[in-house]
Amino acid sequence: MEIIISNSSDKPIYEQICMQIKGLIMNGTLSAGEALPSMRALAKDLHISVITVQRAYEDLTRDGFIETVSGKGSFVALQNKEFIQEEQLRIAEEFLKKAAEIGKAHGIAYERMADILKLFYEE
Amino acid sequence: MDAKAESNNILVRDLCKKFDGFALEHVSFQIPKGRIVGFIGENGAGKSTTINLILNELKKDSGTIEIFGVDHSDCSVKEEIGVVFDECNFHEVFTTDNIDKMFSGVYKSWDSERYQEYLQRFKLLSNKPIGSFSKGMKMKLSIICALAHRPKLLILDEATTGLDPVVRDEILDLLLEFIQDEDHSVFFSSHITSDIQKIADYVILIHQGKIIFEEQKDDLVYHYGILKCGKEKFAAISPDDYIIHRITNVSVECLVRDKEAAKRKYKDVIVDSAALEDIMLFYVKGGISCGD
Amino acid sequence: MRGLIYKDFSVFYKSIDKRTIIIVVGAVALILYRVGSYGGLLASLIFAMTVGMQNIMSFVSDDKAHWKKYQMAMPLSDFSVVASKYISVLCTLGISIFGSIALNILSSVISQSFSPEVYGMAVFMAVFIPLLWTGICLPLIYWFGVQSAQMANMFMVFLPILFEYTNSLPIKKDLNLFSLFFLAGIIILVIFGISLLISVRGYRRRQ
Repeated sequence: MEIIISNSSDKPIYEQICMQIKGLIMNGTLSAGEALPSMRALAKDLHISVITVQRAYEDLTRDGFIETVSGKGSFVALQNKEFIQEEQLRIAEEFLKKAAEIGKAHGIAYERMADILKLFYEE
Repeated sequence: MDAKAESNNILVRDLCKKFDGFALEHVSFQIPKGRIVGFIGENGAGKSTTINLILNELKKDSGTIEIFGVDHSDCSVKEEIGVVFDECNFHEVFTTDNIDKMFSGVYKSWDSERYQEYLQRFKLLSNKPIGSFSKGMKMKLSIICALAHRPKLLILDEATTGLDPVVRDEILDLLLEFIQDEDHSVFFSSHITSDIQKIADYVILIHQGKIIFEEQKDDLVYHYGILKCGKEKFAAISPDDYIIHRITNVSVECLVRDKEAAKRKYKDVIVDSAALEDIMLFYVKGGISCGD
Repeated sequence: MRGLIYKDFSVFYKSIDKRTIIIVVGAVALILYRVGSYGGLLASLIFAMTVGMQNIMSFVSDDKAHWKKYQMAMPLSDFSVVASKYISVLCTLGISIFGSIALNILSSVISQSFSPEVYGMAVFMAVFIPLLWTGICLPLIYWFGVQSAQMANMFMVFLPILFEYTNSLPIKKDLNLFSLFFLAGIIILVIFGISLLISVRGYRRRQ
């Protein structure tokens, strides 16, 4: 498992960890049931405080990505990947709808809007 | 704050101590299990006095101090505390082997094997007297000695002051390694905030003998911010929205508790993230106008 | 406690100053050649004084390392801290006894004479002087700090005068030397014990 955090990023470190583990789960690098490093071990490896990692793990648990068994550690939850993707897509749809509304109201061409989305994807 | 909800290795309540010209007043805080707590403040703010009181080296005037749930005057609690001061307290004529023999007669749980392993790891195996060691080597030795009797609590008083970044990093490694056990805690005083910003879970700021705050470090560094604006704009800012302000010749700077809220509420001002050092400086210097 | 005794004894042993040894050896050699049969006695007096002073010097090096602050963070009671100092002094008596016997043998060889009383007296002094000396200095250290003991150390040089004085006393030959030593020994042990208690009280004081 690879996690790379940036100290100069605007994003808090716990959010960076959270996002990266989510990414690893979604792209299949971490599979269901797989054990994550313990919070303390990860804190040590990243040279950050334990509470920061704890917070990331708590967020991941809350969002259903991991499960924590006391005394045993944290594991990738046995969730339905399609279901999560579906959920996230619905959230993205909301944003895209808003973008389309703004674009239409101000006469921005569809192609321009699509180009911007493409640009973000390639970023 | 959630520090209070956790079980502690140290609990300090209403601690008072008066000297000529300096007093600790109603100091209360706790060191939760499994956590690293940074203790910051300028020189003379009361950090060492607090630590000396915890270790029962000074007599408190009033208040309670509990270590592992028992009163701190019980000398058996020290069996499970490792202490590192800002200087090397070994006799210069001693070698590392002398120290091994000495401590095996002081701590019941002294682990010679572990001590030798640490010496090897930090390249301190030598027959030379400690007087010939560099400052970094001496400090590493002090920390190794504090760890080799398998304590549950590690107290460091300005232990990284005056060390080069490489040695300080090695020491931070040791502390994070120590904290792998959930029952262990580290209480770490320093006026160098960068080390604490890296690894501490909680931060306590002391100023003129009083505790200013005891907060989760992430809350401090991710929520606190510095709002910067001109004097005219400052007049429009509600005093409820900032903690302390500082007026310079060219601008006004305010320490705000929630930088996102400040960004939303006030347009055309700059809201920067605040490092631990900035936060400390704001509290310590207070609202003094630096332009004078 | 065992650890502290080891520490104090090691510091004592390691902080023996080479210059002091040279001076002492020189003085002893001079005495042995000039004084004759009592030379051994005088030499062992000087040796015992050196041991007493060396004990104080090791406490000075404790002070230099800010050892007290560190030691207070260890699981040691106030009594065991102070008591181990006294025990480490007792350990150094072995050195002073050994030294005094060696010096007297040397003296006997040089002056071709042997007197059991001189040997007894020398061994007695080897025990008596360091004990009395630390018995006086340790409470000073624990109550008033190391400087006070260093000051007191300077007065150590007046001990030989005391020795001269007792030497000139008309000690009756029929007086049992053994019972005299026995009595003096008890007095010194009492002084040493009282000194220990005063020191513990001094150490217990916290600011």
